[in-house]
Amino acid sequence: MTQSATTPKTRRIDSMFKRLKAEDKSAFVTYTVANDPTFEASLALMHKFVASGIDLIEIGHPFSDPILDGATIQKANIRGLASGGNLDRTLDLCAAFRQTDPVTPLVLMGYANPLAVMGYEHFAQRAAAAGVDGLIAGDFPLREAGDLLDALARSGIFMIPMAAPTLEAKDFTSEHPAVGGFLYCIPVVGPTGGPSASIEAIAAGVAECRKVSTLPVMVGFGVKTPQMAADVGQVADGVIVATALIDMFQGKLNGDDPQGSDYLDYVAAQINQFRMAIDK
Amino acid sequence: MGIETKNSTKNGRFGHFGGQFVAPILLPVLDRLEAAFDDARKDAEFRDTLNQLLHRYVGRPTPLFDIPRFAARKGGAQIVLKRDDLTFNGGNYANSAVGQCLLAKRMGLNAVVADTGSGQNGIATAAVAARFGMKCTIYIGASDAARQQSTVKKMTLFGAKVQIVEDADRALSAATSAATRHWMGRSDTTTYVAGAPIGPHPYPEMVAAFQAVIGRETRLQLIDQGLAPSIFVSAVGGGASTIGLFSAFLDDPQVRLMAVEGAGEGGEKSAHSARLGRGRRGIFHGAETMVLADAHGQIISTSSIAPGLSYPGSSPQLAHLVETGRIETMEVSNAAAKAAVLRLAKREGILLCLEAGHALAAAEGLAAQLSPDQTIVVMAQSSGDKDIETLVEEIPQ
Repeated sequence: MTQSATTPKTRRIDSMFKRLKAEDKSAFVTYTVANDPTFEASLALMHKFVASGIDLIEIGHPFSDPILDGATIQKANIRGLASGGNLDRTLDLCAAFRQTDPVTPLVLMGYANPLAVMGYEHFAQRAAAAGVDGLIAGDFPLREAGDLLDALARSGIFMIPMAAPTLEAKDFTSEHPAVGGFLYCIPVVGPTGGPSASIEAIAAGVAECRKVSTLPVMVGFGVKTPQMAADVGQVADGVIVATALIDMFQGKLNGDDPQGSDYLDYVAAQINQFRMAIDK
Repeated sequence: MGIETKNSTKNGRFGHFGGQFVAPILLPVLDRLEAAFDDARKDAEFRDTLNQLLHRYVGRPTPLFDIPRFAARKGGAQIVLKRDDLTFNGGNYANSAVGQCLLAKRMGLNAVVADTGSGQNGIATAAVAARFGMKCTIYIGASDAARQQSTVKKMTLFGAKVQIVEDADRALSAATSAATRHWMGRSDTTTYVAGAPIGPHPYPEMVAAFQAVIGRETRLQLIDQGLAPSIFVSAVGGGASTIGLFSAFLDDPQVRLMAVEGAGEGGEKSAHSARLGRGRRGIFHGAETMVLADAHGQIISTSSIAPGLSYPGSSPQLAHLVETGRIETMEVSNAAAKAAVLRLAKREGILLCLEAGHALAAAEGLAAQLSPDQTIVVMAQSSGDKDIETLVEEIPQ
């Protein structure tokens, strides 16, 4: 593939950080599982996210065995699968989103087996065509990712490395051209939706990341409240809130219409609260 | 007795299978474990302690002997059983539970977590943890717990905290995922005790090394008894006993190695657990291996009357040995496995688990094609006590 394939597409995440830096803001990121509970509802939700202050969307491709996830996201995966969600449909969803939003970065998040079964080259090409900017794979560490990274580089998609205070730099930094976007800093041990780390521990974790990498650092896992998101935003380049928001949305939804204005207004209000706290 | 393995390669790869497909947070934990294991296996004192425990605590060596009254028809090859059902706790799982707990202790860890399908790895780990004074948590799928209640009670008697898992298939796969999550959050104090040579490196190599005692013993016993077997047969769940038995004979090209998988109810369309024969290449529970997955990469639920066989992933080493043709695979249905267990019990006074029943049924078919002066070795990985409830349903009142 030619150089031109790697130029425009890899820039969405970079331009986002550039814009936020100019505005002196931290990025606010959330996560949703594709097809939870339907394809159309996911699409409406993603646009609502952007309209109410989300800078980057992590879109989960449903998997039968989300081993890095706690109960909330496990259930979201089950709902996504139940309505026919899979990697293929998730890429369709990204493409549909891209039709009306050419700017907001999309990072695909999930597990290795669907990528392996689709084939890395085919996956990377399809993802690029669907307007995907990055990939986070919970069970695909850099030390195993050689073939996948080569395929991603050819299609201009970033592999977002996960960093943790206990990791050696070699396990989250790499000279490979596909490795980039940002560092996903995980300050706690254990699955998603678990306990929160102290802000001191988070600051120390971010500082460790900055020592060995020039990539922006976003913090996820255990960020539960607007106040905590605001504190994290002070020390990191971005805040990722997933489980806490999904829990709130599920609590509100409770059988209601996931595309109805009542529900989507609630989603917007919650996102807004976090956004305002982070921007303060 | 050493604890070396055969056919393992650098970086935990067996051909293109294996690797470390885990959350990055576990990488340093696996690196520490690998270093500790490499160090321990070279340490004469560790090996001596392990061998003593295998002898006195597990009850090794286990016998190897024939079952002349088992065969339904006369005239085929003689079948001999490797009786790991006669270990004191958890059948052959005791071999690796002792090894891994001893290693954990050496690493200064004071707690273990394990998953179990047939209950045997749970019992073995709980028993060894009790002996070593370690905290022990065992995850078991809800459906496996329901059909093997006495095993759950036994683990509890050994002081283990038993966690019943309602997720996913409510069987071994769900238990493995839950145990992994538990471990991820507590890896500073807790080690994961793998029942099978599955998962990320170094587990496949380490479990195979601790299970290799089965094959080494069998080899000596065969020489001692003047037997030169034609075929070794073992049922494959996670593959612990299979790799344990087969590892001593991989370099003997004149013997066939037969891995038997659960066909479920039988037939093309019904759910099964034959991922070595009918699976696809994928990445599951930490390794690149053969898995039962659909065209989108979603893991498919398995089915077998034997809980220990009902698992959608496989040992990367076995996947490699099947791919390269060294190991053959066969499938046996629930009904055939059950019938074999019942007949062995009636005619020989030996009650084996339903997992071993699959190997027995396969061996009987293979024996019919051989002559009486030939021998087939069948792996008996654990006793049938856990399956009594399932088995008595079949006996006419």
